Amino acid sequence: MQRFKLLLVIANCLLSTGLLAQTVDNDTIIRKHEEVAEVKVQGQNHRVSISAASPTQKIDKEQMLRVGATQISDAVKHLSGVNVKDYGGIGGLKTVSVRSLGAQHTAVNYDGITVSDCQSGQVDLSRFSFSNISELELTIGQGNDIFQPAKIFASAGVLTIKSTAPKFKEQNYHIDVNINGGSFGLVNPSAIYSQKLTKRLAMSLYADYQRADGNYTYKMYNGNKLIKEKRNNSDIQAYRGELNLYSQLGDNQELNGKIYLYHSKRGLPGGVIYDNPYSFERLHDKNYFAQLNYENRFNGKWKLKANGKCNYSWSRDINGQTAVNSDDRFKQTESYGSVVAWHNFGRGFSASLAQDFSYNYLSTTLKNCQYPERYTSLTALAAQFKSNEVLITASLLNIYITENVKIGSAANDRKRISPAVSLSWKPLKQSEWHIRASYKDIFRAPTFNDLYYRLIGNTRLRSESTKQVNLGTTWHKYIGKGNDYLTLSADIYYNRVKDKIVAIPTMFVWQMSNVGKVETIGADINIGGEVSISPQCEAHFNANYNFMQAEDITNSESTLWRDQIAYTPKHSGAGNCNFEFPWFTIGYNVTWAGERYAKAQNSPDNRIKPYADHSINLSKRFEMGKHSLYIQADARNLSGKNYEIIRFYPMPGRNYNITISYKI
Amino acid sequence: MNKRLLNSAIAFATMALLIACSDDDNKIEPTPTVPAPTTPTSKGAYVLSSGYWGENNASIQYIDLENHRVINDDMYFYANGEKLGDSGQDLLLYGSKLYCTVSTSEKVVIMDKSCKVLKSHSLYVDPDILPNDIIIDSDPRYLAAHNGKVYFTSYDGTVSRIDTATLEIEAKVNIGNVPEAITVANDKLYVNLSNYGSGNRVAVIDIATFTKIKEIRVALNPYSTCFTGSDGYVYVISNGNYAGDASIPESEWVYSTLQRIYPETDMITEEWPATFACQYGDDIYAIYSEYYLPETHKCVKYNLVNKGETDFIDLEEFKYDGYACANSINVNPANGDAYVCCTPWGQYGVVKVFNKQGYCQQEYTVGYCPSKVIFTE
Repeated sequence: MQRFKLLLVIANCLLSTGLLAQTVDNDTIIRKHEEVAEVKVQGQNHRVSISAASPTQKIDKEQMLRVGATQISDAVKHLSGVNVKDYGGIGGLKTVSVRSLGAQHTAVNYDGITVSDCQSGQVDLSRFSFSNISELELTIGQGNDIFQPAKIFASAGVLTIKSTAPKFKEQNYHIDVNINGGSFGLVNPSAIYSQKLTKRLAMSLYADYQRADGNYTYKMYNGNKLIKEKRNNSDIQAYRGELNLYSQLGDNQELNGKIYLYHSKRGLPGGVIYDNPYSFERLHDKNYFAQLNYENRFNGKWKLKANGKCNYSWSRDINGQTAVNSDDRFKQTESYGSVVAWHNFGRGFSASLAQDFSYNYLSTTLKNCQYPERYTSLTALAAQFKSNEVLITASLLNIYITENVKIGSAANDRKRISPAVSLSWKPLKQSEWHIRASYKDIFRAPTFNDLYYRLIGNTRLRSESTKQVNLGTTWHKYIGKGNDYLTLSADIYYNRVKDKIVAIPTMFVWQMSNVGKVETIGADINIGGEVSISPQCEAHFNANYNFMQAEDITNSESTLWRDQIAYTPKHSGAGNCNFEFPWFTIGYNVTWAGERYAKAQNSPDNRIKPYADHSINLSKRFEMGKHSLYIQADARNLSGKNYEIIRFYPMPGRNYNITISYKI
Repeated sequence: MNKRLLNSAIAFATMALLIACSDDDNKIEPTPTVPAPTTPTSKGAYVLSSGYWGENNASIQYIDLENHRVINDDMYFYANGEKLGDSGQDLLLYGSKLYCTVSTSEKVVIMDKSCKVLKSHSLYVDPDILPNDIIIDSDPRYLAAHNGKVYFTSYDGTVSRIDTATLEIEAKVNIGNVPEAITVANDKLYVNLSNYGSGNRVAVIDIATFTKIKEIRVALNPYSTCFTGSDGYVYVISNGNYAGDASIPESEWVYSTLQRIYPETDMITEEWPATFACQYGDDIYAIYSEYYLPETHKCVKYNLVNKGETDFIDLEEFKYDGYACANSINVNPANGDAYVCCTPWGQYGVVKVFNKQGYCQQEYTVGYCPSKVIFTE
């Protein structure tokens, strides 16, 4: 009876709000609150953040389309200082590593809350949909914004993914239908429906279906023998759904909620094995989470933010490739809560205190599963001074991790205090020229696989720690008339990784151990701009070059001494240019990397050849009143070479893609 | 205005061209030169380097024991212009030919002494020609030879017989789940049935009729070691269930054990703790490295006559970057030297030679993950 009453109330609410929605005026109810944390520069569509004290790059949807992205990883490959490990194909694993530190040191933040995987420690970017993403931001080191959950302070780099939040002007609803299709059986329709419910309440519904066969042909040489085969067992089917609620509780308060659903089934084609094209490993995934973000800006002096999330992930790995067919299931849950308070002391001084708590649990059907659970407490205290000339930020993060297992013994508790400082200085009043310096010391705890995986796991592992020093400069100038501009940034950095966690062979069984020390010296250079070539033609361009010398300095006696670490190109870069004509837009983009090594030893048989992936695209937007239609066609990897990012995982050759998007 | 447009178009084209040209060496090309193959003439030893799983880097080396050097770092590649494949499992020299099982590449390769392929048997079965949901996994595993025939085990649960004259596979017998190492003694084949760690049987096959005649009960998990000693006994190592694993109660721990089987009666006569072992004269050379119990690790000689145990090689000899990484011990039947294969992390493997007193004599850098050393005479 009670439940029935509740339903009635909800139904009533929905009805009345629906009616109300017809009558309210057309102001924007979702005010995305943009803090004046940055010195505002007009025409913020350049990629490099000028006033950031640590390297920060932003890429919005328009720019993502310019580089022909149809997946998040495509766009991330165009950021500087990153290395995307791409196993090829739509369903292939794609992880992002910042400045050679490894994917486990990069946090991925989705709409304000960090996405975690306690089992492997790395987040697969291919799991996120692309069509409802509005912006990506990558921060290396500690960002300018101190009004953040403590988890944002707890990793060497953060990739922030922001989904599209609806904005209502002339109408109370929006529909955004998107279809993307391409080579190798890719079909990816999606739709967003958003509705203003009341003056202070709005919702959006998102659904996305993706399928691909991924069975592209490839060529590879085994010595002098040509292998001409098709990738097989690389199909994928994925469903994603999201429900978002946006509410404005008062003039200064917001409460947003999200429910996320993801299901997928895919083949894991594995690497190319000489003389054996057979592959039968399947992976099923389910991921559900719900999250809430609450923010209250009491007044100019105080702000409060609270976040909460419950996550459930399930996966099933079926492998018919071994004599005894394996069928393993993995289940992990996470509960996360965070509160941040921010205070403005005046005269440019502000400080924040954040407290996060999370609980992770893993259960598997593997033999001798230990059912580990982890409690993490993170406390971040940050202070900032801001004036027209300087921005100084300092933070201290206190980390406490404790673990339990049902069977056997758990790893020891981990405690640590991690500092970070950064400085941005604008020496000249008239010129948007900044000099910056930053330092961050942070670690990553071993993952549950590192600690508890049968046989290979090692509970005695120490955390893998990193130190980052960055020195750089940024410059921005409006040139000529209108919005033409030029942006430059150059950074040099020095990183040190200690106690790198790797699997090493011991007598009979491999074991996770803290063996490596890595020293990285690098430089990132970015240039970007916008130029009106004629009244009919506007050009956008971006290019970056990255130098990354990441050397093994574990043991000076070893043959590995000063060898470049695996899968880290010394030279890499990306670039794109687009010409906007009234009748269409044409774009070209490239990502490239120099030679790399598949293993620690830099021997010729481990060398992976350099590659460059060139793509072109054509697009056109049609506007008719409130209707908008956008069409883009991409031709990618024009040279058609099956280059490898990961050894024995050939990338698809020349392929085509069409995106049609309709908005009302 | 238009000039500017033209200029930018030119710049655009030049940029594209420049980038397109700069990656010339990205063309997928065969390795341009393959060095000439070598046929060993000196006394020596072949080394099978298994390579890392999934990285197609199995290889075969030859150590010239007269001049103490590795004369060829990848014999198969030099002789055939292509790589051996993924996961080299076992290597056998029988008569004038080499036999190699390449497990994940699902093939058995028959070669001459320069590693030139004479015949390659692919065991790969295209799943498309099979009824739905039937998966045939036929990774070949270990080899043994007897009387003009070579036998190999396979993960499809069989032992196959190759005729060394025709080089054809002429017969196959089902023997049980996950067969691993195999040996010949007393006109019978002995095959470890590991069943992925849950088996505890050695299958016995009568060679004359090529049928399985019985199973011998052994300790849990007989795996990669099953050989016939010069004394005619069969030696089998069961690797147990990783004694010391905190998730298993101590009462259920099964230690890694070497068992000596008398082939007349097929009874186990003696047992010793061992993870890897080989036999020379009255001595068993053994490395014992119980994974979870580092304090038990040792490298010793067990004497078959006086039943004594003496220290053999200092474990420090197996350490690279602080980690002991020996994973196979082989004996040169000519002089009793022990050849220990080591896999230092991230680097090429090493074969270390120790004399009967346990002193290191030589050290040879070979391919990745060396696992077997066989001698030419």
